[in-house]
Amino acid sequence: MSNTLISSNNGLDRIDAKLRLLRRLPGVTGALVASMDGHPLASDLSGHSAGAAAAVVASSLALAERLGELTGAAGLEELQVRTSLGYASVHAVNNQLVLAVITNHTVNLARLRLDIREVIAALAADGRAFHS
Amino acid sequence: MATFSFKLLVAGPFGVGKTTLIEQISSVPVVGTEVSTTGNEARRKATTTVGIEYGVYLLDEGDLQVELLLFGTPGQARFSAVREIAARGMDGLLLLVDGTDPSSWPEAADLYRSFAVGRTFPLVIAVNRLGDDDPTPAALLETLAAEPGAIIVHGQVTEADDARRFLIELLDLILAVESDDLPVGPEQLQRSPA
Repeated sequence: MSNTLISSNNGLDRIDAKLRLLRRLPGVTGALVASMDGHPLASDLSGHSAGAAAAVVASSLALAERLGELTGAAGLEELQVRTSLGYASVHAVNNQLVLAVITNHTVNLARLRLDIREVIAALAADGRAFHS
Repeated sequence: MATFSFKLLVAGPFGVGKTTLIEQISSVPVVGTEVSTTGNEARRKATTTVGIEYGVYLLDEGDLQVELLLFGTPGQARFSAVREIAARGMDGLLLLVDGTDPSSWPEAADLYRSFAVGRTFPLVIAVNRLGDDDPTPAALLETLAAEPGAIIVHGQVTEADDARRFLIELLDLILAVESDDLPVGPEQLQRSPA
C-alpha cells in the first residue's frame, strides 16, 4: 500500500510539488506529508527535523481522531492548533497519509482551507494511482 | 473499603506486545491509536501504536479496590515526545522486553534510561516470550542495567494470567513505596487471579 508511495521517487516529487503550491500562499511557513505511522515523505519545515515533526503529527492525528469520536463521528476532517504565532493544521488523506500545514497569523484562513482541500484531493488521487 | 488508583506506563520496543498486553487485561474497551505500518516495519507487523492507548485493570480484594490505569506507549525511537507526555505522573513502569530477541535489548535499555532521567519509579521488567522458570539471560540483565530494586518477571502477554501477574508485581512495588499512606501492605494482595 503506502510502501509503494515511499519507494516511488516519482510519487515523492509529486508530493513535493504540491507542498510548494501550498507555500505560495502568503503566511504559510511550512508543510509536511508523512505516513500515518509517522515517517516523513516530504517536508518543507524550516528549523525543524522532518522525522521528529512527522512522528508528532501522526501521533496528534491519531489522538485527535479519538477526541473527534466524542462528537459521535468516526473519522476526522481537520485538527487545528492555534498559538500566539500562528496555526498548525493537520489533515488525514485517504486514511493513508497525513498533511500538516504551518502558518503565521497573517494567513487568510479561508483561502488556506481551499488550497488544502485541493492538495488533499490531489494527494488522494495520486494514492489511488499508486494502488492500481 | 478503600479505593486506589495508580497510573502505570507500559513501554517497550516495537512489536514486543504492549498493545496485546493491554487488550488482554483491560476491563474496559481499550482506547487505541493503532495505524497501518509502512516500510520495514510493515514486514514485521501490520499495525502499530502511534499515540497513547488506554485501558483499565480493576483489582477487587474486598476491603481494597485498586484501579490500574494502563497507558500504552509507542515503541519506536521517533515517538519519544509521546512517551514523555504519557509518562507524566506515572506511579510505575512496566517495561516489556522480548526475551527471545537480543537485538531489541539495547533499545529497551535506551527506553528505560529515557524515562529514568530526573525521576525514580517502581519498575517491573516483564520478559515476554520466556517461560516462568526460564533463567533470565545474563546478557539481558547486563544490557538493561536497571536499578537493583527492579523486579524481573517472565511470561507471555497473550496469557491473561501472566499479564495479570506482571501488573500485580508492579502494584506490589508501588504499594511498598507508598505503604505509609495506605491502610494495607502489599502482603495482603493475592497473587492468583481475583
